[in-house]
Amino acid sequence: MGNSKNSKKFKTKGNRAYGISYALSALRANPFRALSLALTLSLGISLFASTMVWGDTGIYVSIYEYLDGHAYQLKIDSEPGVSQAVVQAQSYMNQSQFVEETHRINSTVGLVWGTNLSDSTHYGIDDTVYSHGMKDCRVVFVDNEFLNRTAIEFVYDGAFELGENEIIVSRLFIHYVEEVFDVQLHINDTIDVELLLGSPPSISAPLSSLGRYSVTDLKIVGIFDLRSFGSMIERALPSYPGGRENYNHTNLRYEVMGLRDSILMRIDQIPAGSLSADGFFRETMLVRASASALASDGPKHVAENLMELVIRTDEKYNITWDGQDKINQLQAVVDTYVSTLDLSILALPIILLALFFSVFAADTFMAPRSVEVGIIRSKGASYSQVSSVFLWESAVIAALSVALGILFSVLFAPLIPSTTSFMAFDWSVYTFYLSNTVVSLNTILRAIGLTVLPSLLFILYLARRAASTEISLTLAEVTEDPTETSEAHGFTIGLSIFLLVLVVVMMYLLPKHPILFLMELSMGTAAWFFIAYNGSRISRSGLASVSKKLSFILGQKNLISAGYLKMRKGRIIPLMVVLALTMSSTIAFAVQSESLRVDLGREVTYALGSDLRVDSTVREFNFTQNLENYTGVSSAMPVLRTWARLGPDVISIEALYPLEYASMGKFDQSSFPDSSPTSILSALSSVPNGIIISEYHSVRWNKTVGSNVNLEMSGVSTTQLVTFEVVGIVHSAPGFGFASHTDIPASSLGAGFGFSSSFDGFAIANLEYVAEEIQEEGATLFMADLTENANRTLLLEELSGLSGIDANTPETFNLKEHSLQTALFLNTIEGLFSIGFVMSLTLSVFALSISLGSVVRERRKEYAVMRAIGGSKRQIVSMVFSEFSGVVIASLVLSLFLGALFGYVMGFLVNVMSPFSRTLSATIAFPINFLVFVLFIEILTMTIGAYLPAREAARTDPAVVLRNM
Amino acid sequence: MASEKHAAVECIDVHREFQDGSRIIKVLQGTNLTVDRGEFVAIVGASGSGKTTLLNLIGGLDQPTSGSILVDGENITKLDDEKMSEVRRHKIGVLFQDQHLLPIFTALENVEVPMLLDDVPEEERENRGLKLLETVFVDHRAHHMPHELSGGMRSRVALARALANDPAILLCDEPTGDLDHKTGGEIIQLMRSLAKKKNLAVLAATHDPETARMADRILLLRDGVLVDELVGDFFKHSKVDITKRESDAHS
Repeated sequence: MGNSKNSKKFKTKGNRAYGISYALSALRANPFRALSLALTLSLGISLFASTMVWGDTGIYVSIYEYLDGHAYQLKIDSEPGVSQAVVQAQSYMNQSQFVEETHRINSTVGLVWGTNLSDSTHYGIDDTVYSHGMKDCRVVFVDNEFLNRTAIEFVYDGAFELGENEIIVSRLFIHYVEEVFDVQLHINDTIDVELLLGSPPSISAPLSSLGRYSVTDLKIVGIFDLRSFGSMIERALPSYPGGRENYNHTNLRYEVMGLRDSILMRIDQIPAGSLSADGFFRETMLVRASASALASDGPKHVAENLMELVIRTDEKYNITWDGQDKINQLQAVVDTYVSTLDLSILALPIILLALFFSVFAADTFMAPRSVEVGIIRSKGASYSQVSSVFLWESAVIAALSVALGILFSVLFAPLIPSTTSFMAFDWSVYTFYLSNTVVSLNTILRAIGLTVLPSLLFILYLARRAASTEISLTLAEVTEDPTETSEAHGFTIGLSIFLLVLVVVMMYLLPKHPILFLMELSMGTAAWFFIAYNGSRISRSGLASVSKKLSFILGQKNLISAGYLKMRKGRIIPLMVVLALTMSSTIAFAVQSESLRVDLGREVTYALGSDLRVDSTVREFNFTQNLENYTGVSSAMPVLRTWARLGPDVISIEALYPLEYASMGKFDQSSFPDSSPTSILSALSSVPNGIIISEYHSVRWNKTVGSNVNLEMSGVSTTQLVTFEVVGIVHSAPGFGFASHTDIPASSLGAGFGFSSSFDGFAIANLEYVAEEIQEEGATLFMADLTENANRTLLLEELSGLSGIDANTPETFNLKEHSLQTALFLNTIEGLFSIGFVMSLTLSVFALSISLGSVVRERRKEYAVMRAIGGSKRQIVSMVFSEFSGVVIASLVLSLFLGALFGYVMGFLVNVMSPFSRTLSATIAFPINFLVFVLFIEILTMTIGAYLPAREAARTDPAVVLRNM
Repeated sequence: MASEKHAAVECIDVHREFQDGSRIIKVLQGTNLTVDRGEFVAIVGASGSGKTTLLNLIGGLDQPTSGSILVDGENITKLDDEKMSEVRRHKIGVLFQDQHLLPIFTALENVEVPMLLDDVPEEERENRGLKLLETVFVDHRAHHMPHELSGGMRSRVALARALANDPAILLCDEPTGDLDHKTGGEIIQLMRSLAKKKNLAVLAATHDPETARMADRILLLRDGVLVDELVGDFFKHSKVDITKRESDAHS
């Protein structure tokens, strides 16, 4: 009886393995169909997952990138008299997970060719040493590990590692040696150095008492300069405070005895323990933070963790420390990155597009299968067995999609950090991040939930619906109702316009907030979808009319394709929507990217101020003549930068030659709100004590054009009041940024790139007047005009040979070096746009091939009828091709409009959302050449994509298709 | 009414074989057939006997393995696709069991499709289309879409489309297959009268005895060869009054 019961139960439930066996057979029979759906879904996954993967790994990336350019973040010194404190602090800090490495560094005074000096020769570090024929410098004791670690902070010729009896010297040191001994040192030259290893007295003392130790025949293997000002390593080895008077015949103070005037010598060149603990320079310790530990503890706690550590150390030991600004800088980099993550919502349209396309692909996948469901049902398959078939099929496709999706995500995500500009990548960076990319389970689950699940559920829904439909209806031929329903169209058109207007109004009125951005973007995307839908209908009908009217040229048979264009909806409208969305998004991404690129270029040019900007250590004004001697430099101008005070307000005075500045400055129409650069600078030129002040200070000080203003400025040994006459108002100026601190955006990204004037803003004045008033003969900034054909790269290379020079041109500007935050921001934006662009293009090709193939299969009977009533293969190809290419052209026309519109709207949104600060107003730029190229590629691809199904249509064999029909 | 005796179709020793793996299936084995203009010939035979194959060969949709087929005096067995399509457009009309009207076009436009393929100017096309619809009594539904027409009307529109380019022969594969008796009879009667009136040959493959009974000749396709004879008792038992149908159709 038991057996009988089991048997009955088995028969009632049916074959439980039926679903999987049928699903596997179906997949084997139509591998292409399943694979194309899996590929489509995997693209959806990868688009979403790529941004998330970048989100996961970007924290580490931002910290790593910062540490990559900055060897050390903290400097620890012992308090006077407790030299052991540094050692104790090192031992303590090394135990912290947030510290990757610490390095104690020692240095002392060295006298070049001092071996010949008698023991009785007096030396004092504060003396006018050069007048006594002595060249002193700082000798820094290093090892190769330290050199290797810090190499990134130096620009050097020759080697940056040391063998026995080898040294590396600074460029400024060579300059001073030439001044003192009239000998120009080169790589491979040898020098002797007299080291002073003892303790220094408070006044000058004989060398014999200073622990002299001779090191001879030291070979110069490298010459260095520091890559930037104010690095932690430079602060650990500072120059003489305020500069030292090297000569007794002038009161000029020189930057000496710091890292910039030093020799790097191997520590084993001196006997261990020979250096006095209370020597000329105290032992100092440098601390390097750990990227991985800081990243793993969360982006918000980077500064907090490091500060806590250093404060704890400070409390425990008698130390002083420096580097809070560097810690804040690192936190700012991370914060910038985190804020750029908000921008990943810019990918929302593409993610929704991927979702829409996934469902579209699922629908296409299921379209020809309702008859199949009917057949299975007619053979006796139960409702649950049919569901089981599609459940298994979906499961296999989902597994394949997820595998491919993860693969694509891993391949796509590193494109974001490696993007150098739109669609341009640094492949070495790409390879680095490719090997470090981590795809978390959370990311995969979210990507599956958003992209794969909806489409697979949709497949199941369609299958179950077909299974629950009466079998005879499923098997009956589906006759499409070709008539257009117009009720909903007015509503959707109205909604599109309403949403679009609402988005623009919201963008103007609402404050900046991620949630509001998301709302604006969602509504913008909805408007985009609606317009794409309505536009597809309109452009299709419009093209059908045009095609109909052209039938006198194209032949009467063209009316058939015109009829198809006009009447057929089916899969064509969704296809057109997908094509319009994908192609318009490629255009929108290209427009936004180009706009950013152009804006960044304008900002950089404005920040630098002229064709060539040279920031330097103090140089005499006539250094301009040296600059003008370089090939390609047509004129140069010094800028004397000093401070001035009125009450509590301290501003920077940019003293220059107004007419030269008018000619070489890269002005914007916003620079001088009430006047042109030429007229206002001419006015300044004609009034020796003229001054151009900011609008803010003009109002605050109640000074208008013609008013006098008395500013407190530096004088010899004291300050003085200098009288200026206001000749104009400035909003911002090339090379100096915003004239008032009140206009400077809070964000540190962009705006000035570190070249802006300091204090509360700036004013422009005449160089000769200011120089005379404050008795200054040197400048730290020089601007130059270059000839059109000047070789900028070569010029910068030549200038880099001079010590204490940081030369830049807009064309060769290294953004990452000057503003890592801005570079990171741009990386993210350009990366997102590049990925979005590639995705859109890929999706459009996919959509076309999947959809048109499906359309042709659906219409086989119609093509067969056409062949049977006399249509030749050529006619069918031409007819179908003209219809399909018409669809593509209609979509393209629509996407041009949509792309331009949404490029503008999204560009506006990006500008509002962006943490990138500007001095100039944002612009929208259309990359015409790039777009023409892209559109050409798209048209070519689409045309081929339309021709292949047309050929397939013409191959329809009416004898086979129409048999028994 | 033209009643000149002229062969619309001649099949001479036509063979058609199909390869099924290593097996060769001989469907037609030396079929000979002549259908004159104005003549209505029905081909009957068991399923798989080769009726549709014969129609496909005559309609230029398939090529015989050997033998010749002449349509309106032109040998169509060696024509390329362009020439063959031209023959189909000008000399052959096809009527399908399911009508197969193109769903995106109106009745008139469906009739115009063969003319469109032939680049017939708009005015002439429209005039001819309307006239043909008038001939089959659906001119009042000229601008209706196929799904707005009844089965019988769709068949009439399909008939008008088949006659669009004034063919020499009308090929019908189960022309009344999905129609009720009454409507089917009307269509066949209409075809018959048009054949006589327009002096075109009608060759219909059918299982339906009533359709066959209305033919001038009934040919049985057996073992791949046509046998010119009245077949089976079931034809004799038909109760259809042909005269009545003719008057119904005209009314």
